[in-house]
Amino acid sequence: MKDSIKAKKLNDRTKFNFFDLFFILGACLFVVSILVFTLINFNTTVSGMAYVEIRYYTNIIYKQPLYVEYDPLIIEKKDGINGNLEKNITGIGKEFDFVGERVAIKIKDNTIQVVEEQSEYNICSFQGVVKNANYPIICLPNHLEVIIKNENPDAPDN
Amino acid sequence: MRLETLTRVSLFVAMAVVIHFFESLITIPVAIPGFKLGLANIVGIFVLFYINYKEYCLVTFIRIFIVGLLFSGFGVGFLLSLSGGIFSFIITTLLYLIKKTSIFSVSVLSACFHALGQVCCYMLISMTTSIIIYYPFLAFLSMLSGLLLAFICKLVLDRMPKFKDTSKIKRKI
Repeated sequence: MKDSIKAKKLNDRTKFNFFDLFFILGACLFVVSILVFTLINFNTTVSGMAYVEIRYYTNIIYKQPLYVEYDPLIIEKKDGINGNLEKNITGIGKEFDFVGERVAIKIKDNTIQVVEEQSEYNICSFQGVVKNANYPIICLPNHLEVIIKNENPDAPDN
Repeated sequence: MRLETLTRVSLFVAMAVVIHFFESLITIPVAIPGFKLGLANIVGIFVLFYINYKEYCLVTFIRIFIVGLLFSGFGVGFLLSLSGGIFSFIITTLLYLIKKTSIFSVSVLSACFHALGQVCCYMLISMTTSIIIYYPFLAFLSMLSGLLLAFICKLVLDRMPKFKDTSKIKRKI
């Protein structure tokens, strides 16, 4: 008698029921709300004070206003050990250990684009031109993140 | 731990590791980095509904450690799968203990929270919040694959005889 009740319970738990619908719809709502949140917060238009930021792991390796154009900006291995931004950059850019081979980033006409990189699926070059602020191009195999950021409008003049 | 439990858990872990290896041979034409079908979780969900959640916990976490030991190493990939495993274990156990939910919602929400755990872990590692843009796409695809896994697991569970815990039978020596 007890065995038959247990067997019935096991069968019940393989059938789709009302509670499943409730929980799955809740999960879908959660995911959609995060999607809406990210689309509102991470896809804004560029202001006049926008700047381009390139990060390697957690270090900011390049931070310049958007009107400074490069076609292209090349990050590559130099002397086998160090990565180096191009010589003519006079920003925060400095020597750092770069694991990738060569990454070329185009900054032109208020847009950013990864033109050339070596990775398995080439996702960041497929992503193409980005013209909105706070919408990053992330290249995980090379640990690079390229992003346009708007200057905080509430900050005091500097 | 009883000898029967030990043997059963080790057999299930071996099965999960082999399925994980075969899954790495399949390439999926989806341009979302980090997305996997998670076929190894079939074993986990099966153990959860066939036996109980304690053995599900053992099978999941021992599988993660053995996969790290054998294939991927204890790097970022291991941390990502461990955090995903912890998140999905918490939600799975909660839903399993509610008793009214079925295998479908358990599997789908497990996949959803696995993706959330991975994204949170990556946010902590790289200290960037912008990676959360990937989460909706990753979670939606994971939930579809979770539904698929639940369906496969339902087919297996419907055909299995009822589980008998032989460790509770008293034997004469």
